[in-house]
Amino acid sequence: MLELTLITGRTRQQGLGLEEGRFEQAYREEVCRVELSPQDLARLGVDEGDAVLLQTEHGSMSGTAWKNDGLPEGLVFVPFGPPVNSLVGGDTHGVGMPEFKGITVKVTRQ
Amino acid sequence: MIFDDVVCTFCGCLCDDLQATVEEDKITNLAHACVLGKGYIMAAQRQSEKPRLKGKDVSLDVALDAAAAILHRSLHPLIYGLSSTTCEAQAKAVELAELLGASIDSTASVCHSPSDLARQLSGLSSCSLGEVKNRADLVIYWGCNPAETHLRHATRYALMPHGMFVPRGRQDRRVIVVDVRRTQTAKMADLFIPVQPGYDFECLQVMRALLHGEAPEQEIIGGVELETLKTLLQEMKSCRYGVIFFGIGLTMSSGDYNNVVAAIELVRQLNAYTRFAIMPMRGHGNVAGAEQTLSRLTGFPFAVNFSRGYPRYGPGEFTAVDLLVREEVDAALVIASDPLAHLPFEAAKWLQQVPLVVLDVHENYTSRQAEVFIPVAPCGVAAEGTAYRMDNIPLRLKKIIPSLNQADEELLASLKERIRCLK
Repeated sequence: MLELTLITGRTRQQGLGLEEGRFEQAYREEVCRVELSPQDLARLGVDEGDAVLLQTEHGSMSGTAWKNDGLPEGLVFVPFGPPVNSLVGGDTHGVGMPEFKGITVKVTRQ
Repeated sequence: MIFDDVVCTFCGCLCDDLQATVEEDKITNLAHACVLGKGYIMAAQRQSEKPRLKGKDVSLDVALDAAAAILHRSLHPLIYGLSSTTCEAQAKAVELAELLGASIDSTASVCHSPSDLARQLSGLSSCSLGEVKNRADLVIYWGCNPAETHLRHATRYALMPHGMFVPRGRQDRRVIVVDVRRTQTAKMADLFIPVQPGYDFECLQVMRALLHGEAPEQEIIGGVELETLKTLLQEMKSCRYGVIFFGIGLTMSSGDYNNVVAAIELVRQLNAYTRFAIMPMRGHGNVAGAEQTLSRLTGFPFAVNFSRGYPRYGPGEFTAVDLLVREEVDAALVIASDPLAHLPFEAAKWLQQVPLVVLDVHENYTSRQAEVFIPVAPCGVAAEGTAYRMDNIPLRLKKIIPSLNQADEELLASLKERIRCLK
């Protein structure tokens, strides 16, 4: 298990999936894509395509691990979508905006 | 038939140079669009056809009557979405909110609402995308990734175009990316500066201090060497025309509007040395229009409540996530949005507990939970109207194919009349 920092965001495939069909396989796969640095993949002992479990104090999601060479060690990226919303809290600190980035997350090999 | 200068409403770029070929009421070719815009417009042709009440197909009249009854019964309705429809429809939604005493909020509250708060605190030294195209010799993307989200931003407006004062296009521009990860956009840049997650504020404030001749004791700020920040600042001071495009990397991180205030203030102070501007990278096609429309009609850009008969502004109070987490909503009208797919689960779960009315082009996660679903004509494809680009330039959307469905604007007007009759 690793404790990492989660950021969520948009991707080209996620944007395309929203329009081409959010119930289609391509969209569902994209929003379960868990991108990790090569170092964190090695530390977790997982290969690309392996299932991983993400847990925060708000909830959990299962996803598929992918290598992203652009991510620094300690950072994990998941595209916007229903699965990752379970990891995000509803507290907006009085401004209306939840913290979709910078969330502490436990990542485990499944 | 060929339609020129068609506006794509997928993202805030609102590219208005598309060419659509229409044969037998179908778009058979779409030139100049990016893959996201093309996907959006071609998919918009596959419109849902039947209104639905509790899972069963019904006539439009029956669906509108049921929607009116739900909203009329509600004591604390929420009207939410708005960012992918026209300003004319947004104005109808505001009228409806006033009639119902509802809260009204757009998807801006979960993307760039901190930018609005920052702008209200500090103002905004901004510009048009035309100015960027013709003048900018330094372009900084901070916390945004247009190579994945705004695919023609670089080629149409910011990096590649040959402008009046940057005649060689990309060769005349310096491009810098500041982000927590090396994105596809970073690969297009001359310089990439990686910053530690949650430390944009510190970096921006140190740059402001450096501008005032102060220097911090630390050699590393938020993972960035002080010398790198000094070099970046020097580049910003010495360019002829600079611009920062910032994204949700600033607004969705810890510090939210404070990050944006720091960026705005830095840009404002840079104008003592050169011309510098800053602009939020708006996501949805008409999210800027939602803020324009709400501001024009209520005085506030988002998070507006009419329960006292007049508009009150309450970020953190009348924003959709807060209302839903506190379970203060007893019915919702969702227009051109899919909050069940995009709000935190803690907020989305309450939305599934209340009667829902959804107006959208397609079925989505929210419409599948709706008591009433009414399919609409897609704006900019089968419905005309107005949309605002990310630089707040209004553009006219065309109707290029017919639709069996009515536009949001017409449907909201019908809904309002039915509710008025019930009162």
